[in-house]
Amino acid sequence: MMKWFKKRKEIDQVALGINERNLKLVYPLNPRKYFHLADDKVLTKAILEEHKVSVAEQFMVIESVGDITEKWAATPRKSCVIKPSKGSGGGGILIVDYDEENGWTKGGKPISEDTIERHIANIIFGVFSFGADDKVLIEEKIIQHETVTNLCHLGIADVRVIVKEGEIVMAMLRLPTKGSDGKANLHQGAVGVGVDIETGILKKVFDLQSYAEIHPDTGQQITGVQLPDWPKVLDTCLKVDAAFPLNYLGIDIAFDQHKGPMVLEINVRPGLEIQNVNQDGLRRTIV
Amino acid sequence: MKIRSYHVIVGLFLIIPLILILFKVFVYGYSFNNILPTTSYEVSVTFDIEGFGDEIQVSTWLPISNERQEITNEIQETGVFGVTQLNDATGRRVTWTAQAVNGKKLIRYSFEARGKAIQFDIDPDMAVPRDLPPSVYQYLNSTAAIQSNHPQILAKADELTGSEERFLPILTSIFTEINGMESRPFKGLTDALTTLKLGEASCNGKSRLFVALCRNKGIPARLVGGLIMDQGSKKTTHQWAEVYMGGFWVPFDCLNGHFASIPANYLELYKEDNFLFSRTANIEFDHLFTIQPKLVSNPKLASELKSSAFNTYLMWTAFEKAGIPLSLLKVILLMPLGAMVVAIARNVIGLKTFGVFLPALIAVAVGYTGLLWGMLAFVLVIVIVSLMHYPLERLGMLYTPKMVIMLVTVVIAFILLSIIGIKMNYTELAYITLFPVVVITITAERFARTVMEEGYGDAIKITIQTLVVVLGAYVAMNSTTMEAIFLAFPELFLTIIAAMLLLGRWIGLRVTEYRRFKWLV
Repeated sequence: MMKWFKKRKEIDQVALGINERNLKLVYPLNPRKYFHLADDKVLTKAILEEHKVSVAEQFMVIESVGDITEKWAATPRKSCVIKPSKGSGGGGILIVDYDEENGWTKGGKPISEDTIERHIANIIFGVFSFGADDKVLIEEKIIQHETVTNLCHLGIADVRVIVKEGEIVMAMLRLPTKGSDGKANLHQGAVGVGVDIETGILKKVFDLQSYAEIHPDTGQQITGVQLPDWPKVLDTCLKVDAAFPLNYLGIDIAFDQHKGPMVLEINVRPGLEIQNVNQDGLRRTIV
Repeated sequence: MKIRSYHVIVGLFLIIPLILILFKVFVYGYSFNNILPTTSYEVSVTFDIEGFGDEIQVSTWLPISNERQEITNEIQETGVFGVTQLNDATGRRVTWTAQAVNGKKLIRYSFEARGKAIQFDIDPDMAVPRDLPPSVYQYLNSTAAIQSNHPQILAKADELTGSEERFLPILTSIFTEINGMESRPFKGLTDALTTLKLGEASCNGKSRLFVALCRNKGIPARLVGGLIMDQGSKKTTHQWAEVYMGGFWVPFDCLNGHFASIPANYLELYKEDNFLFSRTANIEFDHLFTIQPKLVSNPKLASELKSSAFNTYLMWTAFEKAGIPLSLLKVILLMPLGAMVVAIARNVIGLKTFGVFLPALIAVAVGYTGLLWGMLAFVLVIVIVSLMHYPLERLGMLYTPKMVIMLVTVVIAFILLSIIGIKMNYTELAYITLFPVVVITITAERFARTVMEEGYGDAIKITIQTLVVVLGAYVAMNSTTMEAIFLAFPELFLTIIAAMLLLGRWIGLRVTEYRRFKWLV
C-alpha cells in the first residue's frame, strides 16, 4: 500500500497529464484563433515555405469540384500524395505512383484516373473531415532516406519533436509496423523510439506494452542508430516554431533521401505518449 | 484572472448556498424529514388454493392505514372467489368464498405500504393505574395461550418486578428477561407458560409471555400480528406486543429488541391472539409474501415547500399552469448533476465518453425506458451503426447523408422491435421506442465518427466507458433524494458551479493516467 502511494507520488512528479498540458501549455501558448494555421495543411505549408522551411513540393491544390478535371490534368505526372487539407489520423490519404509504362498505380496495382478524381471529389465534399468542406492537397511523394528505410521499410517513418517557446523539449521516432498499415501513428499500431535530442541517437523501441532494441516486425537493430541530418532537424524545428504564433507544438518531420528533413504537419495538441516512449516525463518543461 | 480572486469566487459559490440552506432550515423551518423521500414497500401476497369440489373459504386480515402506516394502491385479484369484508376490533377481516371449486386457484392481493418508525418515551414515574377505561379490561384476562393467572407466571412476575408499581421498571425487567431468552424459529403456536418453561421461543411465544407477565402485573397488553417488510419473498409473519399506557398502545418487540418502539418496516395486520390465515379444511393451501422496497417522494414534500420561500416548487406550480409536465422540470433540475458526473468521470477519472453531455442525455433517456432497456437500446444503436458503417464507407458516401441512412435504419429497427414485442406479448420490448430519438441520433453520429477517427477497437472501448458514465449519471439523476434536495434547495446549483470552477483549474493526473505513465518510474 505504501509502495503504491510512493509510486503514485513519483509518477505525479514527472508525468505531464492531459489536464495540466491543456491548462499550462496548450491554452496559454496556443491561442485558439491560430489553431487553423496548424489544422489546415495547405495553410501550414504556405507559411512554412514563406519561412524557408523545407516541405514536400506542392503540386496542386484543388478547392472546388468544378476544377477537378482541369486541375488534375494540369498536375505533373509524377508519384504523389493526395490528401485532405483538414483530415486527421491519416484518413483519406491516397498515395499513387506514376511511370510511363504502367501509368497510375497504387501499391503496385493499376488505378484509373476516374477513381483518383472521385477520391478528390470525396475529399472536397468533406467525406474525411466530418461534413465540413475541404481542400485537396497534392504533393510530391517523399523518397525516404535510406538510413530510415533500413530501420523499417513498411512505410514512411517520421520524427515527432515537441517544441516549447523556442526550446526543443523531447523527440521520438515513429516507425510503421505490419499492424499499422504503413502509418506512423502510435495508436494505429506504429512503434515509438526515444531520441536523444542532443545527438539524434535512437533509444529504446516502445510498442505500448514493452521496450525493445529491435523493430518488432523486421528485427532490425534500432537502439544506438544515429538519425540522419539531426542538426538540420533541430534547426528546422526552431524555424517552424518561429514561423507560427503557436508556442507549444508537436512537429512531424520525415527524412527525404535528397532534400533532407521535411516538415509533414504540425500539431497544436501533441500527445503525451512521447513520455513513455522516452521513459522521461514532460512535467519539468512547465517551469 | 488572479488566483486569489478566483478562490474568492469559488468560496462565494460555496458559502452563499450554505447560508441559504441554513436560512431555510432554521428560519423557514424546512425539515429534511418532510423533504427527503421515504421508503415505500410494494407488498403482494399470493394464495395458492387447490379445491376438491366443495365450497371453500379463506380468511385473513388486510392492513389498515393509521397514524404509523399508510396503505395505498390496493389490488385484489380474486378470480372465482367472492369477497366479504368485516371491520372489527381486531382489524379488517376479509373472507374469500367460492362454491364447488375444483383444481388450482389463485388469489393475489397487493398494496403499497409506507411505514413510520415510532418510539415512545415512558415517563419513569408513571405508575400502573388502578382504574382503566372499560374497553381495555379485556386485555387483562387470562386466556388459554396467555395464562396470565398461572402460578408460575405469577411467581416469575414477582421475581422480576417485586412490588414495583411504575411502568418503566416493570416493563424494563420483563422486556430484558424475555429479550435475553434464546430465540428459536419454532413453527406454530407457543403459549406463554411453555415459553417460560422452555426459556426459549419464537416471536409469538415471547410475545405471549410478555403479554401474560404484563397482564399479571395489571397492565393491559395484547398481541399484534403483522409482517416485517424486508426485500424478498417469505412465508413468515411476525407477532409483537402492545401495552396500554397513558391512553396509548405502545409497541414492544421482545424478539428483535424494540422497547416501546417499532421500526418503519413493521406492517401491522391484526390485533390480538389470532392466526393470520384461517380456512376450510378441505383444500390445499399455500401462501407467499413478496416485498419490494423503493424510494418514493415524500408525500409531505409539496406542502412543505408550498408554504416556504425560495424553492423550485414555486416555479413548478407555475409550469403546471402552462401545461408543462413536471417530469420535464425534474430533468432540467437534475441535468447539471448528470453533467457534473460526466465532468468528473472525464477529467478526474479519465474515462472517455461520446461527447460531453451525451452520457447525461442518455441517462435521461434511460430514465424513461428503465435501466435495462435503456442500456439495451443504447447497445442496439451501436450494433446497428457498426454493422452499417463498413458498407457505407465502401460506397464512399458523404458524411451527412450517411448519418441520415444510419438514423433511418436505427429507427426502423426500433419500430420493428416494438412491433415484435407487442405481437409476442412482450410489452417491455415496446418500451424501447421510448428511447428518445434525439439521443439515438447523437449516439449514432458520435459512434460512427469515433469509428472513423479511431477505429472499431477504440470506438468500442469508448462505448463501454460511456456506458459506465451513463450508469453513474443515471444513479445521480434518477435519485428521488437528489430530486427532493434540488427542489428544496436549487441554490445547490451554485455549488456545482463552484465544484466545476475548481475542477476547471485542476491539473492533477487523471486516475487512468497513473496506469498509462507507469513506465516513467
